[in-house]
Amino acid sequence: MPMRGCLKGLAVGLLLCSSLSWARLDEPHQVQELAYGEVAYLYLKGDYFAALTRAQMALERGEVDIHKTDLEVLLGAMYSAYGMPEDAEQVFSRLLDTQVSGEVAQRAWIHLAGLYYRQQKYTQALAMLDNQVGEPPDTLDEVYFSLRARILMRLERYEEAAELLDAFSEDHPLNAYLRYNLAISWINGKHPGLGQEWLWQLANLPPGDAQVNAIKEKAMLALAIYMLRSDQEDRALALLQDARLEGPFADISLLLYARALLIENQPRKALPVLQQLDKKSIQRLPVQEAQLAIPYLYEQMGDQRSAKQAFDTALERFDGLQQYLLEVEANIASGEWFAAMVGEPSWSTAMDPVPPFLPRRVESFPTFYEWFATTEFQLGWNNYHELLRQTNLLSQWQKKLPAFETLMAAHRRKQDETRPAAKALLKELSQQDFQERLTRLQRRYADAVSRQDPLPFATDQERTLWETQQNARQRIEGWGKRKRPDVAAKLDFYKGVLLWEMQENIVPRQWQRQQELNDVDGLLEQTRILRSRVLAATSRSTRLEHFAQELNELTGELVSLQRRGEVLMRRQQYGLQASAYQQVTQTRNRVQRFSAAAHEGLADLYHNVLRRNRERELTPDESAP
Amino acid sequence: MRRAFILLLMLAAAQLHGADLDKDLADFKRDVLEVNKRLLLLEEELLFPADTQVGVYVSLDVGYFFQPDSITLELDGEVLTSHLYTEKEIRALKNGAVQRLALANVKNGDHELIAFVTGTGPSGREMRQGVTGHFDKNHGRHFIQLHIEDDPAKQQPRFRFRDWR
Repeated sequence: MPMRGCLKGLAVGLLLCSSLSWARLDEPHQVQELAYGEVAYLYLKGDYFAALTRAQMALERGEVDIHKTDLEVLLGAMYSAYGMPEDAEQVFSRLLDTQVSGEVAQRAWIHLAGLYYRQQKYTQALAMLDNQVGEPPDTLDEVYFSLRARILMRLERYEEAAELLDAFSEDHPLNAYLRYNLAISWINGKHPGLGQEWLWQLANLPPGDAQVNAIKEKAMLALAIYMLRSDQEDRALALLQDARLEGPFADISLLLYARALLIENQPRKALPVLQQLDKKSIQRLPVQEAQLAIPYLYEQMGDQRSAKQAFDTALERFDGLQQYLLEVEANIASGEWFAAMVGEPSWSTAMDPVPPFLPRRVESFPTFYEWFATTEFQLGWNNYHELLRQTNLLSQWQKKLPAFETLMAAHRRKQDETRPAAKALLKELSQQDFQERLTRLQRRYADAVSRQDPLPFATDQERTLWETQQNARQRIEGWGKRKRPDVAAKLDFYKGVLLWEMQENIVPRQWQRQQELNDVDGLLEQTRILRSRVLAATSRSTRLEHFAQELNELTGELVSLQRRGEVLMRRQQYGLQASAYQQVTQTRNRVQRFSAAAHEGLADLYHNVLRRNRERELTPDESAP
Repeated sequence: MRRAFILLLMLAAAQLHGADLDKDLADFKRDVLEVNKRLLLLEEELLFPADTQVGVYVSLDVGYFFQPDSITLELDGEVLTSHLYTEKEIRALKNGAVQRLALANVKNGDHELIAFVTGTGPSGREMRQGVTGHFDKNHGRHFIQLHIEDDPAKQQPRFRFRDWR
């Protein structure tokens, strides 16, 4: 029972580790980069595979800067939870070799210690927590303490683990598991009284979810076993009377109850309890035990006829079970058993997380009931379904590949259509020689500025006036002596006024022209960028070629991965089938022992009856005269 | 006899390869992840080239005054996508995560986005809200965020589109 508790505890621990693998995501926090926020979204909705892929894409495309270290810590934690310890270790080591903040380093160390814990390197994991993390920050204390408590429990340092209990709230799932394991260790060790007290508290927890109820029932059973062992049968009886007749622990509760009644010398009360068990499937261990106990109980009560009948029934049922187990063995060997148990998985999309598969309730389910609850089975079972999901994903991609080809052809067609027009446009642009024209203008501007010549900056009206005046001047020069002397003076005056007006605001005028030239330069720069983009687009055949090559490679890799996945699935299936075969062998051996015991009991019964009959015949009849 | 032989073979194989299986599984997962990443990148390049790509994302700040049930997004008058939220997704958004609602292709220039958001507002009452936004698509990928935040002064949620650069 304590071992089973530990295994369950470990399973919950692993679960917790993945859900708490990045403590900061459990609380509101500031996300400043889209890619990081998207990974967090996928991670928090439980789509770990998609989150892993998106994180890799973000790092490859350089989409994260501010959150780069956060993303790497998350990536490492996801690798670790996803059964890729080498990759996780690589990420954490790389991270710890670089200059990262103290908190990031502590998080990385905690995750690395968690990885060692999963690899069952408990001493290294604890040393890492002690030497590298030290005092955890408030934000990480729950993750830190839960990991430390689990490591200490695996190292059987229960006293130290108990000191960490205050770090968890009352309703924390680890709290109850920790208390249960501690109580079991105490009951078997130094502090049986304290262990009993804790188990009592756990057994009397208010009903809650499935996890809490399982702990309650396990604590009650452990307590009952301890009471039976320590001469507290009456208390054990009182406790077991309230045991639930449904749920995973119903059989063992009934069996214990019957045992307690027998120890208390109450066979008449024990019989209906065993008979109740007897109605269930003979594949279950407690039922097999009850089947054997019933005839002995009848014999103890002096009912030889019923005892004989019960022995016969037991032998018949044990034989039937042996036959059935032989069939199960054959089904395991042929693969039928596995196929029936796996059923037909379904996903809505290939990126869905693995659904919580349970073995189907096939006929042989009770034979493997306890094995199904072990970590060994759960790991193998999850691996198988993870592989199933991966191969499903690969075949989904393979189905998409023709569409990729079509898309690529469409891109190529579009490029072929637009490329001639784009090339023509580029040719036209190069003939226009805009840059040379602008340079000429800039030179003229600089020349005008250096000469302080106002004419290049004149308005249209001023330019007309200037030209008119120049014409008038030429005309009066042709008049010779006929011209009036004041006319030339007047013209000079008007010219002076015009020049004065143009010179008066020459600086703003020059500035305005400078601005215009700058604007043109800016426009030309934009044109250059657009031109280079068009140029790049026209020569994009290399990009499409790269895509085509990538697609070609990926097609080959998909096929090869699909094959590898199928081989791995078969290997995982064989592993599970081999373990199932061992379970059946164990059950068969046990049933053989029970069967032998029943034969022996039946023989003893015959022998006792015969002996009593013989004694009765040999004893002289006292009533005879 | 044949079955017994198969079983023995299975047992031997399981014992021989059990230790290697974990490593092979990890190697396989690594390769699948790598291929998956490359295929997703290629798919995005082909379906949503950077020059035309626009991504619309949803984020929720605090979330005291609003909890989304569904969002329908329209781009230039056409329904682009609709999404119904699960409890896990809402919790993720409340913790600061960002949801990619849609990816689309648009030409350069001005575009209109309209989101119809339903959900639970202050005091648990049902809310329906339309949000409109415009964006000017230029060269390169363009990201827009539909930001839902609490307005403590009005005790109401506030919805708006904004560029995420």
